[in-house]
Amino acid sequence: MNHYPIWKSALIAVCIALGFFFALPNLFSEQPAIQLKTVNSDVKIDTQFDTVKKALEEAGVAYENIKVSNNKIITRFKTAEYQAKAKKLFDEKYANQFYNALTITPTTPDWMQSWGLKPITKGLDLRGGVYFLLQVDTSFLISRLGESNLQDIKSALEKAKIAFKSLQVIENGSVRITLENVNKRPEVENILYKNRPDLQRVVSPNAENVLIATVTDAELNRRKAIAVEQNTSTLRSRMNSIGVAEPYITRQGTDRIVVQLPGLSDPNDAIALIQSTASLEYYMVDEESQSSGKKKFGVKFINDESGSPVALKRKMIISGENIVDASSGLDQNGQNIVSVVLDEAGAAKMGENTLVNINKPMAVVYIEFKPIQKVDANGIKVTEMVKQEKVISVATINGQFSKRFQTTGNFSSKEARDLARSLRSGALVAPVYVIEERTIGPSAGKQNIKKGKEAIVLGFVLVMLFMLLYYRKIGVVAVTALSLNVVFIVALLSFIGATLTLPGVAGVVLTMGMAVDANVLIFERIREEVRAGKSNRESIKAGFDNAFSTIMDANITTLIAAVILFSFGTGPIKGFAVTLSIGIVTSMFTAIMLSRFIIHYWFEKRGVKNLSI
Amino acid sequence: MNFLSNALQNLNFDYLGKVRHSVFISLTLIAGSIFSLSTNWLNLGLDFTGGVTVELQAQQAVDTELVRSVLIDKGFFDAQVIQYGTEKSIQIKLPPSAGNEQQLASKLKQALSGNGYQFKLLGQSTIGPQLGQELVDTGLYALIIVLVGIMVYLSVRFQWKLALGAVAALAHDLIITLGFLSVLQIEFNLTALAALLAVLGYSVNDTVVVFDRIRENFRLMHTEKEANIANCSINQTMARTLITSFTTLLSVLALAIFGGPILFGFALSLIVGILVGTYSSIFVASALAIRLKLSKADLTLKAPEEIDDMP
Repeated sequence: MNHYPIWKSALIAVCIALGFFFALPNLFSEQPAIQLKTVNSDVKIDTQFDTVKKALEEAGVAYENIKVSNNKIITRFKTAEYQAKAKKLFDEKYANQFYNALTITPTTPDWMQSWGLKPITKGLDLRGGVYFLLQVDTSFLISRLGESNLQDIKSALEKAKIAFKSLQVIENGSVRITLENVNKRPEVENILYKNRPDLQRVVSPNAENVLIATVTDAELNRRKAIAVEQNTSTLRSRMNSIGVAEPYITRQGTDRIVVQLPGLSDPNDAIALIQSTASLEYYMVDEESQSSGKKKFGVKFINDESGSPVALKRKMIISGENIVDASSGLDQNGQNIVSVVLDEAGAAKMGENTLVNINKPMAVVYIEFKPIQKVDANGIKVTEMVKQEKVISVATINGQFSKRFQTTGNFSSKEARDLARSLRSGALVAPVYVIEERTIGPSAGKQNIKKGKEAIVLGFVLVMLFMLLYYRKIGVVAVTALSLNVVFIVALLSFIGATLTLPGVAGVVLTMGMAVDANVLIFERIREEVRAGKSNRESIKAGFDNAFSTIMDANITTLIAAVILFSFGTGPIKGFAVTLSIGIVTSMFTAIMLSRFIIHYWFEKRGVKNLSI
Repeated sequence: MNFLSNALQNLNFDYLGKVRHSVFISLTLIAGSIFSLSTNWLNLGLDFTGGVTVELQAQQAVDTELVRSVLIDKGFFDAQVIQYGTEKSIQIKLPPSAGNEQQLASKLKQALSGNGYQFKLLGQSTIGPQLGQELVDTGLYALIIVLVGIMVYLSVRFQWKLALGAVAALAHDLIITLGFLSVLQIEFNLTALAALLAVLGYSVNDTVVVFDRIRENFRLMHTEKEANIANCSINQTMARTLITSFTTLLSVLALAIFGGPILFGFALSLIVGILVGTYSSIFVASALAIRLKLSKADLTLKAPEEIDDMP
């Protein structure tokens, strides 16, 4: 009798039980649902539970289940008809209170969900939806950084009364300082060091009187990363109003953002909302240049809507970043207005500025970035974000501003609404444009699921039939191991929350073919040992022992390919790599441990003489 | 099946003796592949070229010629129209254009609606040209790293001559599979690339099993010549090689039949890759290692430690 320790049997039994346990939620079907989120984030969702329940009951919309989870109220319905009724109800009567989004949720019992048991997350290609890859254009951020560095240096030099010929922003936020007097250079370096220790000071090799203040690469990268991070969270809050239950928005690499909107079928709304960069900047008007019309240092000209230039002092008072809330409306004259609320820092700056500048004109600049495609020097088409700015209003300051004030402009009601929406969610700190967009229609998603299921079933049946025909009785072991392998793959995918895509399904199908390999290796080895004249028992032991290192080597090399695929791949390829890797690992477990276990209890314990191998 | 399994167990074929034939076959296939690749290159998909594709499905069979002429009428001069999976579905492909992709699907649907078709949007993709180039670079990068990774692992676990044999066999499989895709002009996209990498994983798996046997036999058969041991090892593992290839082919066949248009190129690449990979692990990898004068000393001097946690 081959030695087979109890603890191993116990471990295997536990693994099988866990496998079934975690795979279990996938047996439950899914039902249409509606998800509600409060518009005002200060309102706790729990307090709204009864309101929602009552609203549904009064409208006669029968629901299957209603619950609060993750700050949302999720109501599940038996049919899509009830879901549509509910949607109509919340669109018409509760649009100001809740953002609603249609979704499908599993019908797994609450106790399972509270244990964290959930079915496999389906990728967009299996459920339909829109995927965007956004490129964040940080170049404007950098030029703005250069601008503000220049202002800092200028005021520091003026304060120290050091004469300079010119100050100029060069690439990557650096500023070139050309001094009148070479001898002042050490003093300037000293001042720079005191005021802006983060800037590096480089003497130009060409001219002794030129000092360049550069931003370190680390600092540039840090600023870019912060900008991308801020954009990501801005987009997240913008996507609340789009009617998508589980928007997935995350940073990818250094300067990209992935946006996934499951269930959405028309990408156009989302694109408008994502790319909207409308923002406001507030400047003082330079009256002297305005009347003379001449350019001078520290003044820039921006056209107003009629095309005539307005002279603005370069130093910005506040920008869209300081605006925390905004709404659109009409003033008493019936003009479209945008009311804004500032954050603390913005309010302080605005308050101070309006206090000292009473009776002087202040201008509001409307800014928008538009993607324009160009052909570069190498003939490759590239997308560039072009900044479009215009002065929308110039008004005389009548008194000190508080946190809240209104901006009138010559905008249409739609412009006012879009501007308010964009300001409210926080302006994007750097413009973004779409470099990849994939839309999968809901019917295509359903077709893909069906195809995937059919491929899995057919693959499984074909492999199973062959194994039974070829290996007969012991083939049953391989088939059992294969079935459990599928259970384990499903369980692991559910447990780690990996997203199953169509290529992921292909990975599962491919692993089924490859998974029996370990069993084949073992069985062939056992056959050889039997032919070499060993007893059944000895052959089984030798077969497993000898095949072990082969199985390890063969699978580890495949795993290397799968892991590299995972780290290099994006989207669909990643899905394939995940299921392939999981499949390889589970197949080693099922073929080696489980087959041994089955053979031990089935053949050895019961003393089956004829191995039929 | 009994007959088959008996036949597979009593093989005694001189693979390495047939080196002339196998070299001829391999070189012919490689030359053909390189020729096709250099003249036709690959039918690169949207992922790598950038541009727009829109997949539409109608209630009835779609006449692609009609659709093409309608689209030209409406000003979409560069539109390619192909059947997509079934005859009711079409895919329209447009080169990267001047940033007006966003309403494209609805514009196309509108342009086509006057011709008795009621189209439903199956899917739509837009890839910027910069991203396309980037995906090409990353893909090549991934291929090279997989090859290096496998080479390193095999050098450590076995010996550099065997590792080189295996990697050469992989390059062989890669070129021929690409050649096949090039000859038939099957669309090469990200999924097909994934298939290619899976072929590498599969083929090396096959080769390693043979190598493992060679290593074992080098220790057991002291008196035999290297080439004989290699032959014997290939024979001993032949049943396993063929059975596994067959089961894997069965499952990939299921993908080709049911996977739909998205996975068809993927499944086809895998089918070819598995066939070539099986061939190369029998005829190419070991023959090359023996050619590199793989000796018993290479594998027996440094006995690699066995993984001793037996099941």
